[in-house]
Amino acid sequence: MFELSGIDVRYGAAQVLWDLSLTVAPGEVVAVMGPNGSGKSTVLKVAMGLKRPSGGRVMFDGADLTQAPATARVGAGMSIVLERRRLFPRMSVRENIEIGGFVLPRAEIRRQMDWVLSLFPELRPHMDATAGRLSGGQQQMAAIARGLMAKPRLLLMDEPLLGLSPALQQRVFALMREINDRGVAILFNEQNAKLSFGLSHRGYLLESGRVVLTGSGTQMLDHPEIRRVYLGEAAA
Amino acid sequence: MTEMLGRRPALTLLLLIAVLAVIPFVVTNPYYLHVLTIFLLFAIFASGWNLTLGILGLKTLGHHAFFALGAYGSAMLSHYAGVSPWATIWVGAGIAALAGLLIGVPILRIRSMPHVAIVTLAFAEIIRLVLANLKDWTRGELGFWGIDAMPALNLGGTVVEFGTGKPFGSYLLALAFFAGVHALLLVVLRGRIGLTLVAMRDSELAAESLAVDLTRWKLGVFAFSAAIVGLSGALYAHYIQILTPTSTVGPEMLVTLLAMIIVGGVGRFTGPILGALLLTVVGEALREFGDYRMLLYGGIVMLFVLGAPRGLAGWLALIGRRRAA
Repeated sequence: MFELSGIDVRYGAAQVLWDLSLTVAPGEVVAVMGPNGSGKSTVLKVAMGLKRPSGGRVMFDGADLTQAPATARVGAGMSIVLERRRLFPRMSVRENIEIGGFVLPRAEIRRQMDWVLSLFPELRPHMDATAGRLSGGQQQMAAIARGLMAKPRLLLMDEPLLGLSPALQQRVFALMREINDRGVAILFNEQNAKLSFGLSHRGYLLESGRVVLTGSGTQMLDHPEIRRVYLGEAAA
Repeated sequence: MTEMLGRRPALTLLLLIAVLAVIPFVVTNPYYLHVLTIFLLFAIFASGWNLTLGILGLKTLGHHAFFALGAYGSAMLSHYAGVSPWATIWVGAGIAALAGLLIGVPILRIRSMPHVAIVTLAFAEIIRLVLANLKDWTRGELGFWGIDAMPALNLGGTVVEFGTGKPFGSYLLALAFFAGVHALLLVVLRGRIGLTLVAMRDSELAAESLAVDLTRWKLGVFAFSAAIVGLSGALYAHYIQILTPTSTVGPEMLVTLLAMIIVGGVGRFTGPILGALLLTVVGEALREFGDYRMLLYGGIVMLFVLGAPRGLAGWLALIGRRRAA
């Protein structure tokens, strides 16, 4: 369904991703985990066409989208929930969600909004509130709702748990499962190994812009290196 | 969107137009009608500029160039080619739109807003110098006089005349264009286009991630904005009937119109209208102070900026919210 192969990315003279490859199969949840500065967010930006790679290929449903802008990728069935939500703070929640369906015909927006809000009943009382006045958790829900408006088959989520309380993190994870159950594949990144690999079918561990480990969610959680470095367990 | 459009913007606009429509039947002093005609034309100018400056968030400082291009384009075409001003005003708007597209392409490559401001300011200065030096065509700073007034209209047996010395007709014509342009702006801004512009202003990355083609949208809005400003320039030319490069694209025009937008409320639909009304009237009222006029004008602008940093429209919205609470 989705494939990054041999991706190199540079910011000026600094290279931040090196020969990176990953895949997402239909209906899969895939996590990209790594410490700060490992290039996790850049992976998602490249996937969405918000950052051009200096080398490598981006494929989606057999089409080469390497040079395609974000506009084309949304049309092809991809969508992203950006880091720190990036809601439009002066628009209402309704408007924020509505503009997520930018590529949809007008008649379809209402139908899709009804579908999206069935996932987020907690947003209904706040639809006319300004997005900037929502709590962090509500903002994250609104951002995910916005991301789902374009009817994606692959949803990219950049640090969806950032800044949320443990209870809200669990709520967002439950939502991600529900979204996935409705047939949407998810590629997300996260710093918390236990949460990332606990939810995902497969995972990738990134260090300094390179994939250093990959496997199923369970394999990743059981890997001694991850247990030692990222879960803080003492070496046997 | 409520912040940009205010509450019940259509009703507000309708009431405003209704009040303005009554004025020429109540106010008979031709000088007052002249001042209000200038207010209406500058309100169109300021609202057009506000589209890029406030609503899209592009810090452009050269929109007075589009005003001059619209004014000179329409005036010269009607004067030299004998085309009716009813047609040339649209050509003037078109020339301004085309210039907007041409300057828009390099501007969109610039990420830094101070640089955008400088480049657009330089563009306006180039237009001023070109107009000042094409003396065979524009008569430079001596002034391009003898511009045709808009031809009279026969409305059900009543002949309505326009141009200098015809305050009643000129006022009604300016009001008709004021109403048309603002109704069009409201229709455009209320829908998906308005949402898209606010999205681009608040986060280009987020807007792009939602499939907004930033370059196409910015260019389109820039050209539309330039066209509105160009149209106001064309109407101004056929009303005042004399143009000079300094009076249309000089620094005073830049400062005056920028002050109208800032004092009225940057990025708010009613802001430029309120700013244009206040500062046109204040500017005229201060004429009796002679050399001290601009000093007092600047002081009043500073007072408003300090007292109501979100502009008159923002201040009125705040009062409305406090009353509702």
